[in-house]
Amino acid sequence: MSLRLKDLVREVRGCKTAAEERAVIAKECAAIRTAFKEGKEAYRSRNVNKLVYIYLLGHATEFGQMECIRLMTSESFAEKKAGYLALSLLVDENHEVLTLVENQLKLDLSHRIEHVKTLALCAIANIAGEDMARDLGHEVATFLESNSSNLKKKACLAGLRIVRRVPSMAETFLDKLTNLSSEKNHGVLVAGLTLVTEGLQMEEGESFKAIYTKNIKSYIKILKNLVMPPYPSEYDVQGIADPFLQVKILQLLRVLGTGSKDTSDTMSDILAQVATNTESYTPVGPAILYECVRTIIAIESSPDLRGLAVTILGRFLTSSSSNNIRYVALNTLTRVVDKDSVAVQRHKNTIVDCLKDFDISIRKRALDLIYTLVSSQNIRLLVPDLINYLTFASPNLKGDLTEKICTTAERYAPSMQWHVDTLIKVCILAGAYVPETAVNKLISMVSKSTKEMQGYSTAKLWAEISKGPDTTLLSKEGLLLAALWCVGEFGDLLTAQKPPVVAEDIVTSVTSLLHSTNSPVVKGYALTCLAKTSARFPDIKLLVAPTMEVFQESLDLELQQRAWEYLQLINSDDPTIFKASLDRMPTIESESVVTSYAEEQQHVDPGTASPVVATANPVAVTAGPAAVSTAPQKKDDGGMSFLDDVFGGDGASTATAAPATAPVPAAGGFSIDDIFGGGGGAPVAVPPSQPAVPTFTPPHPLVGKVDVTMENRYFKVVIYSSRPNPIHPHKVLVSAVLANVSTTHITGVELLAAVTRTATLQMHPKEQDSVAPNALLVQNISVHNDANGNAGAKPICMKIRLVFVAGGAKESCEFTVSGIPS
Amino acid sequence: MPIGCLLILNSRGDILCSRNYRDYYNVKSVGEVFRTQVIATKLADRSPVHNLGGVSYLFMKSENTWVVVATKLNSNAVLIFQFLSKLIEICRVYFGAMNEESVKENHVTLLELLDEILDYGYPQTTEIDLLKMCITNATMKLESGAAKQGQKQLSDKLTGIIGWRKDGIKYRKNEVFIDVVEEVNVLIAQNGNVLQRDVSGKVIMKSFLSGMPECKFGLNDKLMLQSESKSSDRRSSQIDLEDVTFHQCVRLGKFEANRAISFVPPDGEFQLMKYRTSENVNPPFRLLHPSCKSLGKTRMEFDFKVKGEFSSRLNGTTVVIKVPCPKNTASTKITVGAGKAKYEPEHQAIVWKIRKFPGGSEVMFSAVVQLISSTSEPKAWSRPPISMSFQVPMLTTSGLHVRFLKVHEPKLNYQAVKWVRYISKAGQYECRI
Repeated sequence: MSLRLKDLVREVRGCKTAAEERAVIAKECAAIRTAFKEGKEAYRSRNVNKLVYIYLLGHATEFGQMECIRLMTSESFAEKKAGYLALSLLVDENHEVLTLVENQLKLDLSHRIEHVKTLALCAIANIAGEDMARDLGHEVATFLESNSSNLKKKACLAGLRIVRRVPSMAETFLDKLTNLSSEKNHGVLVAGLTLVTEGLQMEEGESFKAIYTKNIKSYIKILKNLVMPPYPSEYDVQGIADPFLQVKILQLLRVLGTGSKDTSDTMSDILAQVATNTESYTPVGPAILYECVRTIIAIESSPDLRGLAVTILGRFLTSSSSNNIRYVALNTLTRVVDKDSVAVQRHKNTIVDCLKDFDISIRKRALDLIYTLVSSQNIRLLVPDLINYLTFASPNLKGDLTEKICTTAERYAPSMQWHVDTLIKVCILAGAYVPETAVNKLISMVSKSTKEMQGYSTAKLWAEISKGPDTTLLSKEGLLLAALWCVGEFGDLLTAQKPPVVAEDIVTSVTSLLHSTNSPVVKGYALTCLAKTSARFPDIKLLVAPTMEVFQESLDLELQQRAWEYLQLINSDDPTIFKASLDRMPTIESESVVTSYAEEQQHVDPGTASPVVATANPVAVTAGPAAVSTAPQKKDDGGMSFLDDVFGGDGASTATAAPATAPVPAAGGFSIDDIFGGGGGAPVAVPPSQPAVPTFTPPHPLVGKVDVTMENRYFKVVIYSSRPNPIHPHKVLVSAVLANVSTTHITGVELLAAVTRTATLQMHPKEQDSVAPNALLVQNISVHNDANGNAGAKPICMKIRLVFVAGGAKESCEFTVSGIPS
Repeated sequence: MPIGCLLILNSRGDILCSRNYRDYYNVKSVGEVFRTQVIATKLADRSPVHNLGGVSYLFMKSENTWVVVATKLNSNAVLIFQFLSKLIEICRVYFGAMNEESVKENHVTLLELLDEILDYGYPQTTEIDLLKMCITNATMKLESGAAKQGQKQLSDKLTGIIGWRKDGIKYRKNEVFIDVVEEVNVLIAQNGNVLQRDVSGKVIMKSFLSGMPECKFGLNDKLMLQSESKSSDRRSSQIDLEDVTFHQCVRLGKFEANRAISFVPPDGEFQLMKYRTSENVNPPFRLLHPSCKSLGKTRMEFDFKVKGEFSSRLNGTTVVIKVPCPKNTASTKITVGAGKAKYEPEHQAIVWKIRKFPGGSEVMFSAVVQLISSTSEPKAWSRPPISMSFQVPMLTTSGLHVRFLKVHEPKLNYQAVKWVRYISKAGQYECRI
């Protein structure tokens, strides 16, 4: 009567439709429920096995959890095994039933049979939550000293889970694994190394780094035995001895070598050996090589070794047919590029070739890498490649690509001629994707340049749009806008070009464009272009007027207005007004970016280049103190963003600018990081204090913005949170700055704070406990956020109580601070 | 309302058959857009009309095929849907079913049909009888004389007033069958209050009459009786019909003028009229004192009685009552007064079947459901309503009955034999617990 698992599988596979399958499962679930309810002993493990199968198919199996637990407690090993198997699948760490399991796990850990112990350890490795990890952690750790390698291995795996859930347990495990290097069994070694590597990366395992570094020679020896002949025949995978262990040791070396010169030197020999001795033609080889390269990059390795690593990556790109390998190679190169750009430059051609790959993700990676590779030296070589790629890039990549080309061109353009040429080329090839800012940039550059340049660019753009409005042209809105603007402004220069353009041609082309495009923006530009052309060539007024009349009835209000206005101007009796109002625009000063061109700057005296900065400085200095007191927010949008761009746009001028702006923080009370936009990572907000109250400069770079303020009759409280040590993301230094806003002298200030259960806190001593009017008092609090063991999972929530004596009376207030980023 | 193009796709979206009526459609791309934008995105479940890229897609589903009309113009959507449903009906009559296999098998006939019923995107005729005259499945023997005569007859029909009936039909025995089928939709609250009740009915006629008979049909419709102005004595059984729609053979002018239903019937079976009414609906079945108690976490009790509230001379047949159970039901213990009841896990319900249910009788149901305690209870059981399905022959829930049917054939002057049948069925018949 009870279906066997095999039969159930067959029945489910026989179903033709999903509905049919659901019906079969529903029926079987009902049967299993009935069996559970009736408490039949005979088919318990069979039913649980079926339940596991049903779970794997994605159906709800909550009702079976109790039965799993019952089975777990059974004395028969077969039933126990089925119970444990189902438990680790059906239950996860968030289920409440886990509390019921814990006791049984404890019992089984001390069971006399080894297999039962391993079952329990496996279950812990799969499902342990935070509480269970805390409760069973120490017992699991004792197994690390057992004689059985099987138990040791499983204990390491369970330990890994425990350490991940409760990082504070890391010390216990690391302590017991110090002599791991003498272990012979590879299984234990691999599991143990995983645990050690994970533990050492945690803040709690930091102190063990030194101990493990002492043993580094023995790990290197193990690795050497695997790499150098005679190879151990055991654990051989495609001619490579135990690649898993090799990878694990390389990972451990990476952790130990990071940031330590001596350790890095010790391991550089073996890394070179691994890099040279490993063959990359089997699938296993590249895995080890990749891991080795990552280690070389991460540690403080010598330039030679690093060159070797980049060469290996280059070899991945050229010789490998596997997409995955090329992808990781590109990915890793992107990371190396800022450390060792010269070595990467050597593989430039290979990387550019990757743009032709079939796989879109590789093309994307290659593009990203090329962007980072571009510098003022090689821009003339690389950008044409990118533009060339633009012709056959897929449409969904084009938008991103054009934007990137525009920004790189802006950053490194060697000359204005080149920059204008590039932008025009991009507009022609991918007019539909050109960002508005790039079009504006092009227009402003043309307006600023010399007359010859203006004529040249206008002629170039005119050649594109005079071909007649076909659909491809109409879709390139960026090109149209730029071209229409230039033709309108510099239409008269076209007549000087070869071959000369007649004014009538301009009118016919633009008019046909005007009528065929759908975009109101382009139409607006075209109308203006026509009006301007008629001002340049007064004899074609009569040709323009009819078009304007058509648009006087346009549904678009903007176009209608333009048409009316222009027509009024064209028909006006006073030619001077007509001329003057449609005259050439004054040079556009692009307010967003000031680009300097490397090649041009070579001829320019540094003294003349600096005025850009010099003029900018007074803005910052005057904006600083004045804005701070009234509206700190405003300050960020005004002068500062201008400054930001000035310095962000050109790396060369940063150095000259730094001393000039250095006094600003002192005067205004904000950090210099802000000006350069990125030193501290986050913008610093200034406490909105009253002018008389001195401002407070936090001791460490801040994380996030200043949090919550409280204000009452006596105090204004501002909470800062900062991270004193970037390696310890859990530790947050919270500074409560109390500003006395009253006129009385406040004494006996005491600040009490409480945090949620997951965090611990430590109060720092105060400098004083009285505050004069308009003075500050700073109370520092260290908060160690241990929520769920992973940093930043939850913002810290804090309750603060303030007790003080003001004017002879004891006062107190209480407030909550939430959302302190950790 | 020009139809731009018409496609028949299979459930995956592959084109089985297509016809383009205007030049500017590319059938392949229309099919592709429909497949990727409507079928693949499951937008089809949301609405039967989609406008994508300036093209409107109107579609109906028939078994495993999609019948899609694409148009760029502002066409009359209702007309297109009426056409689509007619098309599907025609295909059913011709091929027995409208699904992927039948479309593939009868591809040529289908194309012929489409040629006949649509011209340049405008529907011409969707009358099956007429189509049967020009498109036959059987091989046709072409005799020059007969063919010519047939052609003449055909063109007469297509352009004539009575397109749905051909001349010269002869039966030895002239008979008419009338079926009045009513579907009852009822929702009863826990306390026995009827929250919603209405009846949607249809009158189906099967005529085997010779010549060109003129029929007049009378119901106990309130307005109809008033217009006949002799109704004072039978006021009690007047009923109010709403939303009446007729077959195209009914002369609507006459109906508007004096509420008389007169028509020349097509040969064979057709649906004469459809109506809806929500007044004076007496639900034929009632659940008495339904109760559903949770006894602790692992036991539930259901208790109720079903009463047939119709004349004891009538019998309800194939009564099926579905009592929903929670998801974690382990076992059930059911006692019923009549019929058989069983827990069916695939429906998550106890299904109680009673073959014959005499009018006026009461049958009890009680069940104890054992639940298995779930370790994580995500949400409480939603208590879906008890649903019912049944058939009661010779009962009209709305009280409608056929008063007369007069058949008059001016040339042959025969007496037709008339048969009337009534049946009430359950539509959505639900009772909350």
